[in-house]
Amino acid sequence: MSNHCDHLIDYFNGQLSDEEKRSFEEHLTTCGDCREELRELQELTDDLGFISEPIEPPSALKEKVLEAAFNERTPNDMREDDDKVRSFTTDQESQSSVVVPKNRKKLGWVVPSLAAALLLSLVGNGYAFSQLSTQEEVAPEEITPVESISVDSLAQQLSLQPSEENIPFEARASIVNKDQYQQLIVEANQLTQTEDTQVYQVWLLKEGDPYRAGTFTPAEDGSGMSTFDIDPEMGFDTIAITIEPDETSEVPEGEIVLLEEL
Amino acid sequence: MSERDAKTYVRLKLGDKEALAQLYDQYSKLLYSFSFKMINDQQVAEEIVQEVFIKIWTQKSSYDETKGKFSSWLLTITRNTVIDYLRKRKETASEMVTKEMNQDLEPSIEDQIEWKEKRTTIDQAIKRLKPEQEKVIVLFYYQGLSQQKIADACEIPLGTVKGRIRLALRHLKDTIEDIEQNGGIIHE
Repeated sequence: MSNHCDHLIDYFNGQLSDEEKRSFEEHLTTCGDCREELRELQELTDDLGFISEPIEPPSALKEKVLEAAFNERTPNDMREDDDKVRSFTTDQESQSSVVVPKNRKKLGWVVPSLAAALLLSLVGNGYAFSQLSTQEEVAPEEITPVESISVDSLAQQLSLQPSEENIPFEARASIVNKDQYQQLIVEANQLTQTEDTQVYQVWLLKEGDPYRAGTFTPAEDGSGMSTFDIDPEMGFDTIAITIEPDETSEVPEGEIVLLEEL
Repeated sequence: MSERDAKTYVRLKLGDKEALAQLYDQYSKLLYSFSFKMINDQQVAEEIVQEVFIKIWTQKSSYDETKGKFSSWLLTITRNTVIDYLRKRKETASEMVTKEMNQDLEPSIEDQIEWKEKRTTIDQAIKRLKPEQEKVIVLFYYQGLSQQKIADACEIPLGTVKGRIRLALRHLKDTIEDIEQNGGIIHE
């Protein structure tokens, strides 16, 4: 037990100076007791906010809050400024350029504070992320044929549901194991035709960071398809399709037509 | 996190403004009420709610499932924002007393029912604590005071504050569980 251990309550209640806070966070990395006590405090106070007597916020607050929020720069805005480099291609059948994510400049907001990182590993109070879609077992004959002489295998196949019920939309995503990489194949039907320069853009996300993963425009019958080579090491967790104003969007700007966990 | 919240949150991270509006519709009342409970000032509570939603939108605070329940995470951000506000203003939080229960809750939405149930349980549990345990929880959690101020207010040695808080919180948790298991019947 060191003097630092006496700072736990003030740390939890945000009463330490910046210097004291840094010092306590350093202490947390070596003091199992404090980590455990901090975790316990979090757990024991988890629901205490629910004791509040329900009060309706003023109706005008919503607009005010949303406007204030949208005036702020978001991580997406910052990324847009940050990397204009990733290449794009657009065509109806295929595009292939291995996604090698650009080594992004580390942004301050991405880096969790030491304490947060610790809590991440510590709190783990049994909450399991609800699986939004389960991986389907697919018979081999259903595998989308991929021209090759190498032996491909299907890593995952998903039926993709539109994000709004009123959008008629049918899509399927297949991830195919190739020799050194994986290929993402997205097939869609009943697509709404795009206007002017609009395109359908496929995104793969990792912890909320979007990566371009295929661009297409629908054929006359409303069908569309894109293929994209991906780095299996990336560990993407989500797939999304948006309608973008044109094929150059580096981050999603347009309407999200589909969103599904991988 | 419900499936609905999970989807909404991923959409928010993609920059979907509608997703933030949805989270606002769903949680603003809870966060506003909690802010008001801590700070007892309507205008400041509005500022707090605004600050919280800005933090969520700009991902200054970012959620993942290791942080526990989504609603608890939102409450934690709200509480931290209130504490920051109080520190900056060098004010002390208003005296919080467990207020009279408002019986006219609107049980229209699922979330509100859950809220009402939790509220009733926690309220009952707090009332069953010894007054000094209730006081220490109020000073620590709802007012977010420093260890020194808690020691002064309770007239106890500084070094015993942490132990008292943990004991009171554990007792509260046990009482909550007891009420949940026995359907809220108070054996007194």
